[in-house]
Amino acid sequence: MKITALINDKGKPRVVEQEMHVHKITGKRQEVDE
Amino acid sequence: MAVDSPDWTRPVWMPESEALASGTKFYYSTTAEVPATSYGEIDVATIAAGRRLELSFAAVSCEVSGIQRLRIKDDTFAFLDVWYDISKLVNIPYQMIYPVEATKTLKVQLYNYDAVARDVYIILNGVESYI
Repeated sequence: MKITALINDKGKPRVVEQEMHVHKITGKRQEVDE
Repeated sequence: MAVDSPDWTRPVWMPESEALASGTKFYYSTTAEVPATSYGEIDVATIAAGRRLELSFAAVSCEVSGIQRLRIKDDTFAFLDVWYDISKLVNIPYQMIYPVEATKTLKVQLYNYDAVARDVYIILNGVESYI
């Protein structure tokens, strides 16, 4: 998927347009006791 | 500091919020590598029928500068879409409530536009309650 975005590059605005790939990340859900 | 967090994370606090619904409170944390020119997508939770999730607080930490954009969304709506140069801890406003309706999935996306992979750590708090 090609994405165009205005990003904050170390305090300066920068337009980027590039192919972006999705990378699935998994984590850990932990319930909190009251 | 959260359990299993890497050495380079910064301490975070979970403020109490009166707006927070009563229900099953949980926190979600992960450490991951976001490859070059890609975005990491975390499926935090898919909400069961008859329930609703409220995300109350989130924080992202990066070992070095690199992650430039963060989105918090479900299958339909983006609740938050912000651009940062995340080189330190970024706290997402905990006063805001991001409701996720039943059968939707809360997702967090971390965008890395750079040509090198970045390590990130993310933690967020939520409450899953009955509607």
